[in-house]
Amino acid sequence: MQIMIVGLSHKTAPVETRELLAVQAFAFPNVMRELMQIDGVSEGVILSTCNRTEIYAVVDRPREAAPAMINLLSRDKVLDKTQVRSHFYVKLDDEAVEHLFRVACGLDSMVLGETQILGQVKEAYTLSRNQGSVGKILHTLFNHATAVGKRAQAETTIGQSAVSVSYAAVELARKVFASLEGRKVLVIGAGETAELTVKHLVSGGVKAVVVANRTLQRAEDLAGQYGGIPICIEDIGRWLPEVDVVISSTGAPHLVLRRETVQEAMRQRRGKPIFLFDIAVPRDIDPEAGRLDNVFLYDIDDLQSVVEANLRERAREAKKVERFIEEEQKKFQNWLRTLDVVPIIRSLREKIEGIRRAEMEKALAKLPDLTEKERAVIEAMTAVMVNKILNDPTVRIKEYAAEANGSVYLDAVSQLFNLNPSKAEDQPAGVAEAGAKLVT
Amino acid sequence: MSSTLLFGASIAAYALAAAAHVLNIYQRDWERAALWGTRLAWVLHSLALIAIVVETRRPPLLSLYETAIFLTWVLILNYLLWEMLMKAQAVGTFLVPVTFGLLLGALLLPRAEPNLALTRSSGTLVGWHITVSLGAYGLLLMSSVTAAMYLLQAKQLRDKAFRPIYYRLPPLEALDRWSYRFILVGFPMLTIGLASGLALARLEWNNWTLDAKILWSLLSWIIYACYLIVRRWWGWAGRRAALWSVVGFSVLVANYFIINMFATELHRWGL
Repeated sequence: MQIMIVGLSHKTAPVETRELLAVQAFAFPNVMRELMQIDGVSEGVILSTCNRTEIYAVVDRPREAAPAMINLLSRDKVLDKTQVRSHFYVKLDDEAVEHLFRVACGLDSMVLGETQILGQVKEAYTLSRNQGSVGKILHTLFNHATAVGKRAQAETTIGQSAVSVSYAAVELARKVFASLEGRKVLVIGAGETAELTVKHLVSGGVKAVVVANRTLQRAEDLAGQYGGIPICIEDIGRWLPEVDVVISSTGAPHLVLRRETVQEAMRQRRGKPIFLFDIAVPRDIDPEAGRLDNVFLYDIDDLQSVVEANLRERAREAKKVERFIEEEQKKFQNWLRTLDVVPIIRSLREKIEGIRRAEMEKALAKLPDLTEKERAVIEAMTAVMVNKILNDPTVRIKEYAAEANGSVYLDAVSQLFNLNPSKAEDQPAGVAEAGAKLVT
Repeated sequence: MSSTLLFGASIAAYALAAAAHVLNIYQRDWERAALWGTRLAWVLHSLALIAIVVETRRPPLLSLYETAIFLTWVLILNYLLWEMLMKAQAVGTFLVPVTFGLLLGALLLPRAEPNLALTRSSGTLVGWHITVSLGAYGLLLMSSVTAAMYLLQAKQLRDKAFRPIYYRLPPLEALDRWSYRFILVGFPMLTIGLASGLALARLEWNNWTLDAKILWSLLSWIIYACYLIVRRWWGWAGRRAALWSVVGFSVLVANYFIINMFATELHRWGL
C-alpha cells in the first residue's frame, strides 16, 4: 500500500496540454469511477485546476497503476501520444506527501505563495469524497495538507505582497499612510489599471474619488462609475493640496502635472505626504516632482520593479513555509506508522481474549452449581484482568510505533506472543477507527 | 552571583539577539532565535538588576551605571510586551542593537553612588531628578528609534529599492506620528529633569557655574524645544523632523556618556 501522485503542472506541460488534460466538472464522476476500477487502487482524489491536473491515490502496485492513470487522463485526447508521457511526473510516499503539502501552501504555484490553490485542494477533496473514493489515508493526508496550508497563510506573509501592478500601487500607499480610511484620491484620465487601482483603494476605505478629464462631460461620465467628484483637468492644481493619492493615466503626449504645481501643493499640505502614480506612457507627471520632500512618485516601470521585489520577498517567506511542511510531514508519517500497530494490537487482544474464554469454559464446567450472579462476577473479573494486563502494552506499542525504529518493537511483540497479524487493509471498520483516533 | 557577571552574560545574550534580529531581515529562519534570544537576554538583565538591589539594598537608580541598566531594561520590557501583543518584530530589529550598544557603553560608566551629604529637601529632589530624567531619556530614545525607522523606510520608498527590511516596517505616517508623540511627552519630562538638576546645583553648591554638563543639557533642551516649535507652527514633518529627532538623541547620548565622564564633575560621584 503506497501513496502515489500522477500528474502534470505548469512546470512540466505547456498551457495547451494542460487545457486538454484537465478533468472538467462534467467528466469528473466518470473519470473518478474509472480511476477506482484500476487494479490495486483503493483511494483517490483528483485535483484539476488551470495550472495542474493531479491524481492522488492509494495503490498497491504503483508500477502498474501509474501508466493506467496516465492512460485514463490522456487516452481520449487529441495529443501526440509519444510525447504525453514526458509531461507527467509520478511521486511516491514521502515525496508524494511533500508534493501535496507544497501545492497546498502555494509553493508549487505559478505565482509563488498564491492562496487560491488551498481552496482548490479542499474542493478537490470534497468532490472526490462525494464520489466515495476517499478512505482513511487520503482523508488524513488532505486534512494535514489543509492544516499546513492554513498555517502558511496565517503565520507567514507569503501570500500578502502584491503581484499585480494595480495592487502594488495600493500596497505602496499603505506603506506611506497609516490607513486608507477617509483618504481622497484623484484620478486623472482613464484606463484599466487606473480603474482597478481605484477599486482596490475604495475597498481599502478611501473616502472620496475626484475624477479629472479633458472635458467636464467626460469627467462626469467617469465619476458616475465611482460615485466621485468630476473636475476639469485645468483644476487639478486646486485639488492637489487636498488629495493624498493621485493616479494619472491620460493619453496626453505632454506633461499633465508639472513640478511647480506639485511644489505649490506641498507647501499648502504642510508636510503631509502625497503619493503620485503615473501609469501613463508617455508619462503624465514631471519626474522632477518626485524629488520634492514628502512626495512619492512612481511610474509604471517602478511599479513593475516593486512587483519583482515583492516576489523576492515571497521567496524569503517561503523558507518559513518549508519548515512548516517538514513538521507536518513528520506528523503525517507518525500517523501512518500507527496504522501498522492496529493489526498487532488486534491479534494480541484476540489471542488473550481467546485464552480467557477457553479457560472460563473449562472452569465453569467444573463448577456447575454457581448462581447466575456468581458466574457474572467471575466473568467480569477475568475480563477486567485481561483489560488491565493489556492496557500498558497497548499504549506502549502505539508510542513505539511513532518512533523511527518502532518496527523493531512491533516485531518483538509479534515474536514474543507468537502473533500472526493480518494486513491492515482487511481489518474490520471498528478497529480501523481505533487506529484513526490515534492521530489526534 | 555577582551583578557584574550577570550583566556581562546579559550583554552577551543581547549581542547574539541583535545579530539574530539583523539576520532575520534576510533569512526568516532566525525569527525564533531573535525572539527567544531577546527574552533570554532580558531575563539575565532582570537578574542583574535584582543582584544590584541585593548587593546595595536600595533601588538600582543611583549611579549612572545603574540608571543605564534600568532604562534599557524598561525599554526592552516594553518592546517584548509590544511584540507579544502586535506580533511585530520590526521595532526589535532596531531597539535590540541600540540596547546592546548602550549597555556596552554602560560598562564604562562610573558605578559609585553620589557621595552627597544631602539635605532632606534635596534628597527628594534627587529622586525626582533621576526618575523624570530617565523617563525623558527613554521616551526620546524611542522617538529617535522610530525616527530612524522612518528615515530608512522613506529612503527605500523614494529610491524605489526595497531591501528585505522594507516589508517589516510600519507605514511612514505611523512612524512619523509616534516619533512626534514620544517627544511631545518626553520634552516636558526633560524640562522637569533639567529644572530639578539646576535646582539641585543651586542647593548643593549654591551657585551655577558654566559647567559643561549644564551647557550641554541646555543645548539638548533647546534642540527638542525647536523641534516642537517648527513641527507645530511651520508644519515640519516627515524626513526633516525625523532627522532632527535622531540628532537630538545623539546629543543626549553624548551628554550621558562623554560629558558625564570627561567634561564635568557634576555627575562623577566618588571618582
